[in-house]
Amino acid sequence: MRIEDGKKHYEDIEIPNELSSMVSGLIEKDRTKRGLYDDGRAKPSLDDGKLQGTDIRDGQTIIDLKKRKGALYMMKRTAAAAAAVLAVFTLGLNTSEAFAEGAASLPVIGQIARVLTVRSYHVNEGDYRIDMEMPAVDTAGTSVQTDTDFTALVNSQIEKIVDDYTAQAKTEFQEYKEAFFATGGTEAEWADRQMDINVDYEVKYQQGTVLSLELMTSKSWVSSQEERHYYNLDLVTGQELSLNQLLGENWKELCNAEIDKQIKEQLADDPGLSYFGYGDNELSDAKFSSVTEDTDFYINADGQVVLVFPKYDIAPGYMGFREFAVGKANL
Amino acid sequence: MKDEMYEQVVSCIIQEQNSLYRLALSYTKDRDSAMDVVQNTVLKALESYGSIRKAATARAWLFSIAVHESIRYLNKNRRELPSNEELPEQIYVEQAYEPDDGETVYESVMKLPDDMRTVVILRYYEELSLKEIAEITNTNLNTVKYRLYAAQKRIEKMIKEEL
Repeated sequence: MRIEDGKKHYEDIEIPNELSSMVSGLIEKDRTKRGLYDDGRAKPSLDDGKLQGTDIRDGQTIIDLKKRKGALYMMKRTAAAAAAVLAVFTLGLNTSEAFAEGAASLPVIGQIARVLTVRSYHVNEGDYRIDMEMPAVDTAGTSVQTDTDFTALVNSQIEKIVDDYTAQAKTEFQEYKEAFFATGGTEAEWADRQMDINVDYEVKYQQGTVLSLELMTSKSWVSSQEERHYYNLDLVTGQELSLNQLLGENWKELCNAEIDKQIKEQLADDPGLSYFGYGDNELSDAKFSSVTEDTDFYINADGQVVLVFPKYDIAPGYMGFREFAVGKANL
Repeated sequence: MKDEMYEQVVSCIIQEQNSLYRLALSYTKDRDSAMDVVQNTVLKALESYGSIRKAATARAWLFSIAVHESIRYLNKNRRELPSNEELPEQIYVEQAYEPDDGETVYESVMKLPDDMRTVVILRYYEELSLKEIAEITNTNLNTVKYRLYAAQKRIEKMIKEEL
């Protein structure tokens, strides 16, 4: 008889379902009280000039807007290819918005297409602090026959996502504000509460006729929420590339095996990580089961297919977005 | 801007929430009270994360709050609970299977007096070091060792009587 033998039974004690929501609720409340975003970063205040126009995209970096507009930032944007500078069509959402200065630098995708910043502005006034960099794919000026209807469709989709997102974020914040005052909140307590709205993009891959583009939208007030959209396009055939096309007919098995393997490796390397259904979370019913046609992915600069799982999807929220490079794309 | 210590405490709370609950339950014996204790523990931890000592790990520190809150809860809500030894005989349920050793041991552990049981749980089930346990239970190393030894003897006796 060893006392340790009882360990399994101790660990099998049933945990109430409400425990985790209670705990995360307490944490969220405490962060709000401290004025922290849920990634632990301090909420910028208006007194703190340095923090205006911060980049919350990855929840880690705090980039001064001035620096962001500086050389480093531009380099990042343009490193992938020689860039052409074009005039930017800036379509403001409303007249009070301060338009970004000058033309954005544009990565060139072979000779086929450019990704243009068609809407670019940075506002910090009233209830909102908005950082907007909206992309559009442009195939004008190439000698190759491209499917322009297709790119137009993609661009209108992007625009709709951005517009809907911005409008919804503003509605939410106004509702929050109304509720705040309706429940006895005072002007002093409200102080400089603002909602951050960010739209940005990144060209993940650009070779030949293929373009892989990531569109990110995020908003934050009480906590921050981020969405990512991916476009993996063949601009000549005018289609969105599928995992089947890029990884072959065994794509599901390949992806599933690779993800399972990488999760196990990650957990072995770092005990601070966790995934639903693995290790300590073994009993979770949210365990990753299989990729589907709808699983998000992009192609990285090395031509690898990278699968993307949103926050809460296969791992607890603190793990954020999870990405897995699963293999070379057949391009 | 990012307060590393705060973030460390937060992720530790998230990671250890189930353990905190089990530990609290071992004191309160009922689910709702254990939830209350966890709630108080989390609040206390978020409030006083600054007081965490460099030497202590966040995990051990969190358990010490949980132990403290459990005891505080019991004291505050002390009803006429008989001590474990005097608990009325539980209704005998014909068991459809032979309980394995682990189960018998586990049940015996849960019947230990609070101070012995806590040391056993922290040592064998949460795998903390004796030194950490001494800090958590606010005693010294020898007391921890003695309690573990006494717990072992007590469990052996309980199991023998049951057979």
